[in-house]
Amino acid sequence: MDSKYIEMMLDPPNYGEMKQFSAKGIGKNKETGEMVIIYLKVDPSLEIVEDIKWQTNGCGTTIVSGGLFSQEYKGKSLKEGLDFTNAVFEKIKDNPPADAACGEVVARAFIAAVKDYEARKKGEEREFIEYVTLSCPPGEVNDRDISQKT
Amino acid sequence: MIEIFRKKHKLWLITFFGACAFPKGEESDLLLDFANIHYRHLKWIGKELIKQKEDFDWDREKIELKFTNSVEFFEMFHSLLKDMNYPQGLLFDRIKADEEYMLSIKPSKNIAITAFSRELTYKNLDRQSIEALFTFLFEEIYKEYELILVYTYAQLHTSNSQLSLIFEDLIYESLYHLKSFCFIASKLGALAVPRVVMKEVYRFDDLKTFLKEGIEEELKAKEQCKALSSLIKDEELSRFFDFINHQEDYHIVLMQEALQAIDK
Repeated sequence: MDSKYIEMMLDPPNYGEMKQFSAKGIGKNKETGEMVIIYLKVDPSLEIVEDIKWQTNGCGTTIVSGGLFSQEYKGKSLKEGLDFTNAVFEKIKDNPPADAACGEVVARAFIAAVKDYEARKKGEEREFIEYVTLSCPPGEVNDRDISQKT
Repeated sequence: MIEIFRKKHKLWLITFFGACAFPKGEESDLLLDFANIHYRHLKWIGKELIKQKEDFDWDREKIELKFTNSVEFFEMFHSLLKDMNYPQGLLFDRIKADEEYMLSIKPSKNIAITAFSRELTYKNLDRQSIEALFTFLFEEIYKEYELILVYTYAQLHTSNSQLSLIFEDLIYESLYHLKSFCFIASKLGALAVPRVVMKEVYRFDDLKTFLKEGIEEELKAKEQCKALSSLIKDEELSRFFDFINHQEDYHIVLMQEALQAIDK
């Protein structure tokens, strides 16, 4: 195990809650109960991620994925962030489900945050949750689209 | 009062993890007793907040412990204690008196601390076992801390006495597991205070779902313990993980009892 990853597990970059955020998204894995929350501070004119915070109740691999992905998302435009997310999906889709799920749940949280950002622009305020699908058996997840928590 | 609660939360963690950083003995025993006293204070302050129709949370700043000897630890511990401020009242008089006593305790000798060295060595364990042990401890230390916070929050918010007693038992169990895992992490040089637990984990709408998911997690934890026990070629550690594995069985019973108690 690389010492860089050990440090990242023990002291994950950008970890924590953001009190004043432009967008918040939740990624969830229904099978394991793992959850990732991403908070974004977005520059409204350029739509660039100025700051990012994230939290999770997940495992070590999720922590490392969250740390690495948050570093990638920071400074990117939302569009570039989504492109990166799609590239992640492409890369992990053939991984063993348990490993793929840890990266996917972080990427799903980013998608949810972008959807939240778009909704807020229209004056809508609700909670956006995106569920892990690539690494769950088909049929397990029914509501893969945006869901609203009451 | 929420700020006092948060500072007490930090003080409890620093005392608890500080205790586990020491080699087992007089200092660690004393600090663990102090940590338990801080935890009781924390519950009393939480209860007071609820009585005043306020709620509490488990928010706190990130805690990074890096001390390399006992003198350094006690300097930090005393400075945190001196920084605590309380209003008047019977509860706070009690807390102040406890903390004044803690302040009077000075280290009798300077002990070297290697708990945060990140050396990742443990007796003669091979690299594969060390990595498996590190990953297990990293995940379980967070999980036990999370469980203590979730059950404490739930216990302070329930008026069902049967549920409250079950939560109390589960908290004792998790405190024991946390302490045991931290002492092993300390020997490994990989001790660290876990990350902050997010509100979404303990402020849930549905206790039943939480308990049902918790039972699933306990079953997984049992499997992890079993796998680790067979992977690690160290008789003492294997015996310990088997023992923890058996304890998880009764957690499941307690959680099932809690599920039944909700409907009573």
